Amino acid sequence: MLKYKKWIHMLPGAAVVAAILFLTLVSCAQDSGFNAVKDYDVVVTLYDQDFNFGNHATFALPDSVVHLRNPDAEATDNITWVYDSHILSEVVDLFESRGYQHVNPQVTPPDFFVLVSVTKQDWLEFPYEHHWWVNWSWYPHWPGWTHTWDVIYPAQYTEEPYSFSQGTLFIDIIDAKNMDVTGERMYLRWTAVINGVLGYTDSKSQNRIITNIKQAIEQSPYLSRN
Amino acid sequence: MLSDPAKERMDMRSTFAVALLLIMVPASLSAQEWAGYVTYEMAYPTGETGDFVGDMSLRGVGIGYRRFLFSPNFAIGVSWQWNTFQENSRDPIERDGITISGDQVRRIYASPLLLNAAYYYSGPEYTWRVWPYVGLGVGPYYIDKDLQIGIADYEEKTWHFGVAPRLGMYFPVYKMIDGVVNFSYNYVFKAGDDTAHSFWGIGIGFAYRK
Repeated sequence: MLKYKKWIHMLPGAAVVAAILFLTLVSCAQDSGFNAVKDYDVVVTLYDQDFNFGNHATFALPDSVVHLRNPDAEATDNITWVYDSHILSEVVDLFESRGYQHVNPQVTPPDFFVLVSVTKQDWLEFPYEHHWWVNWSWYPHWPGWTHTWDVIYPAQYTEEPYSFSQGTLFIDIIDAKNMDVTGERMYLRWTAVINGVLGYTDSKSQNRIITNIKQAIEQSPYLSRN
Repeated sequence: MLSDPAKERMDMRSTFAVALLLIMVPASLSAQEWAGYVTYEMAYPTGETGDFVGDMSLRGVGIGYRRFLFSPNFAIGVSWQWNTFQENSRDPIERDGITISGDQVRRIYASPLLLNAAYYYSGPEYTWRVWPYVGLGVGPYYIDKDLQIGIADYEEKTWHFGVAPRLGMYFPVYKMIDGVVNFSYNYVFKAGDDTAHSFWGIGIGFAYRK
């Protein structure tokens, strides 16, 4: 009976501790919602704000997606060429939908060129925290230690590294009507930078690329003949 | 020779330390009651905070302590609070001819550590069914602002100074346990490269008084 009374007195304190623990948990940030590779896609567009895109009518587009890479790097960047024709035809369709006319530069000098290129970057990352229980909490652990123990790597890092590849597609508008002939310079009037984590070569990836190209044009309402 | 901002920080810390000592004086100096409280905190962002994260925060916690001094109606205390604002957005970001679109996580952790002074309308006893008060909190706010877009993550951690006028009430629940409800408006002054911040807060919780 005495023991029971002792415990009764501790109840308010225990309730406060439980409340603080509960509230601490609920005050943490919620999930980012970044689950699929497409969630990491970013489309950036930049334009020359002094340039009137309505003054240009025709455009030409090289029939290849150029793979940009460091000449000293490995012989191939391992980026697939499978999507190139889809990318180029989508770009042509979208510029035509904005009132521009696609021309053959050998027949008709265009008002601007549209250049499409792609590059790849490999990343090696070291996450901040790595506890045994994060990935292997299901696995029985040895008596004497717990799932919260850190995994230590021999180097200075205390985390397990992971890697991924990131692809970037560039679409550029080069002004062909106004060039600096003496300075041998051409002016870049608009650029779209489409960046994403590289995934498998499949129809989903193709849809991702096309969706992002459409987004680049959609978020550039000034890009119009009319 | 301290720079002006460094000197201001030192002054602020000294003032805070003195005030903290004042609150923690032994009970013999003040025979009145004290109370500790814990609250669940909700917050609605306004101004530049709302421009960055528009969604209401339902994730927050607050703890505090207050002691009656000088008068049975007047109490001072300290409180600490943590609010998590988060919005998962796809709204494009536009600035100077640059447009960026993609899935974004916009998040702000706002954590005030305040010195509070409050006037309690019916003194330390429950002469009414409830025990209303008005008060003001001042002190440092820790603001951790983060934007994740694609694989990029931009995080900015800044200490600000802020004020929080508040009103609220206590009501009896069980013996020395009271219920607490408070409403506050937090205004956080601009600091460093960060903007000013502001948000309405609602706290619901329990207090233990002695």
